[in-house]
Amino acid sequence: MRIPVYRSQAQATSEAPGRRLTARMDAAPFITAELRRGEVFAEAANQVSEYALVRANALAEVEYNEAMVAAQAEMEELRRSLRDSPDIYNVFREDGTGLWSESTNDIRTRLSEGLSHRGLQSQFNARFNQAEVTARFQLRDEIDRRIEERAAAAQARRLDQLVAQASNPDNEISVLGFLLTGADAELVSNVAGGIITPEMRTIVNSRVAGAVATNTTQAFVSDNPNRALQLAAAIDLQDEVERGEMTPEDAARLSGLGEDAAYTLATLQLIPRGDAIEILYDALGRATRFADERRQQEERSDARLQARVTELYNNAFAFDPRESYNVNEVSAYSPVVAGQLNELFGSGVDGLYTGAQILRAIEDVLQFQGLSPSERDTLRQHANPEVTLPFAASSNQNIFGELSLLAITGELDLNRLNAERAALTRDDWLLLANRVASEADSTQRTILNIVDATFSYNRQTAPNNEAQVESQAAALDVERQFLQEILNRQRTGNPMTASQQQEFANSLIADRETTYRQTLSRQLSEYISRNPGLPPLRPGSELADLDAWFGSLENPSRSDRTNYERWRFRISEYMTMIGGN
Amino acid sequence: MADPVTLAAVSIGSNLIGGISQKRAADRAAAAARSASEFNAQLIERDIDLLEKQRNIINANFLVQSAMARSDFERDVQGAVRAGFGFAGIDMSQGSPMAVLRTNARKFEYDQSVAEFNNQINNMQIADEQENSRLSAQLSRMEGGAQAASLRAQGTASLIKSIGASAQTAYNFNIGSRGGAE
Repeated sequence: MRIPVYRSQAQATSEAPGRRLTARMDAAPFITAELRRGEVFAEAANQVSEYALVRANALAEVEYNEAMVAAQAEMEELRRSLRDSPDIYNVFREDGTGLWSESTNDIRTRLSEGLSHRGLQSQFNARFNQAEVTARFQLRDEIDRRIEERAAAAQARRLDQLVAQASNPDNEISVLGFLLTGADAELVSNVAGGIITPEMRTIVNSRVAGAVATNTTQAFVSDNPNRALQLAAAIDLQDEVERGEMTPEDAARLSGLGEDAAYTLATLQLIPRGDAIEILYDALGRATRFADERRQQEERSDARLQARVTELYNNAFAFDPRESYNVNEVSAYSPVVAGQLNELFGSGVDGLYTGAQILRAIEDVLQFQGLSPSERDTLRQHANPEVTLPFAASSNQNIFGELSLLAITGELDLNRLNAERAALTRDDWLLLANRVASEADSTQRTILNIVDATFSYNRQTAPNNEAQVESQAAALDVERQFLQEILNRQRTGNPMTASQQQEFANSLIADRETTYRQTLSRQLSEYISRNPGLPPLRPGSELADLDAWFGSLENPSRSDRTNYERWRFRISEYMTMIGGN
Repeated sequence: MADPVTLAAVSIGSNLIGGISQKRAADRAAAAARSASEFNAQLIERDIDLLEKQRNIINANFLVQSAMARSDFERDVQGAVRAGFGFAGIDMSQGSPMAVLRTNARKFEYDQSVAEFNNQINNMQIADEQENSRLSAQLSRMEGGAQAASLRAQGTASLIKSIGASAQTAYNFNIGSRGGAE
């Protein structure tokens, strides 16, 4: 028998329980989120930082620019002040210090410390140093120039002193050599030191010699033209002096000069013959002008005296010998006459003098002032009551009117006035007499101005060339003749009326003008011939020819321009004075 | 208008604040990275436990299967053999029946040995998997640490950069060396 047996059908699984999880956490999103969240705030802070920094840099840049402007301005101001500083030797010292260095360091430090940005401070210092170098060299040039100018001025003063010392004609001749050798030794030292060139030494020596010769000659000649002529004669003997055949003293003696001229001759011997002649020519001109001036001054002095005498004489006829006059009236007329009255007649009767007494006193006074016999006779005749007609109690109006008309037109003279005195009161007579005198004076002044203008004479400035000398000579010549004639007429008791003065002056001007223009034309020709560098100039169109010549020069040199301007100035002056252009 | 030094001080302060903010953000990002890696590591470490449980189950199953196979073999195979030979009157202790029983037993032992070998292989695989998971968890933590370190370094670099820029500004505007903003 087969017993059923239960057979289990269950089968244990071989599968393991549970599953392995493959899910993994990715950290990237969390990291990114945290970083992004931080970036937001950081970016905001960075933006604030960037903006503040940009603003700070911009303001620092402004500070820098302002500091540079201030530096330039302060350096320029410093340069100007130091340029004019009297203490020029302390501006730049040899050891690199000095006023400039100290001041610029102060400026740089002060302005640099005011800058906020360190980098811009460095930049500022670099730029400042760069600008400082430029300004320093500019100032150094100016300082050097001032130092050189001071040195040159000091040397010029020494040379002036030397010239002054050597320009005394009373010096011993040995002094001349001593002084000039000493000056030349200093110039030689300057040449050796490279301060001046050898050519400059020659020029300075030549100019010193010329100045000494000029000053000495002018001092020696002074206002004596004869001395200039004698010196010129002595110069002719200079060849023999130079050859050693004659001493300067002998040359002076032979030419008529004393030994006191030896020093002057020695100075003239130092310079070329042509220059010596020029100096003598100038000295002669000066001496001549001095002599002329002195003569004219004497003439003017005489004229003033004569005018006073003439006035006294003419006005004497205002006193009627039969009338009585108060002493005060006489004093107003002439204090000298009043004094003479007191001398002759005491204090008068109650202070009154008769006209005859006054006329006597006038005659006495005029007697010492060159009263001519005819004038004395006329005066005595007037003092004679039998001859002299009295003044009228009242003026004849017809005659007074006629005489007044003549006085206004400048045709009334004293002869005519005296002829009518019986028809005039004393006051009317005096009125017309004064008008005659004042009219003549006014006309006289006008005529003198016309003369000056005609001859281009400026009496305010001394003539400094031959044309102006001629101008002065012509004007003074005419004026002298004119004034002389006026005086002569006054002395003869017949003063010139205004119209007579004008007529006479015109004739004098016409006579002298011809000579004046001829002289100037000749001088112009001589001037042109003396300057061989001048181009050919046709008479009458000199200026136009000169301008055309200069205009034709393609590239005129400085010398051409200088010569042109010098020539044109002189020729233009001549042409203006001649009146051609 | 504020002066340049004050504005520079503002710039420095803002710059530092920005740098600090970036540093903090980087630190937080690093923490997130570390947290994520830890999370992943724990997930992976869970597999180790799971594999251990699988190992126990497989081993238990193997024991059960082995016992059941031995029982079945004794009862169904050897029993049948003994019954058949016994019914046939065959001496069981000699001759073929024994040989058959022995042969069956040897084959059964072989099968059992194969099953045990397979079970050991399975245990070894599970052990490898567990080791793999442990290493993966460790790697995850290491990666998270490295990433966190990188992020912290990035934040530190930002902070240093901002400090450097601030220091440069302070130097340019002379702040600090003369007592701060004037």
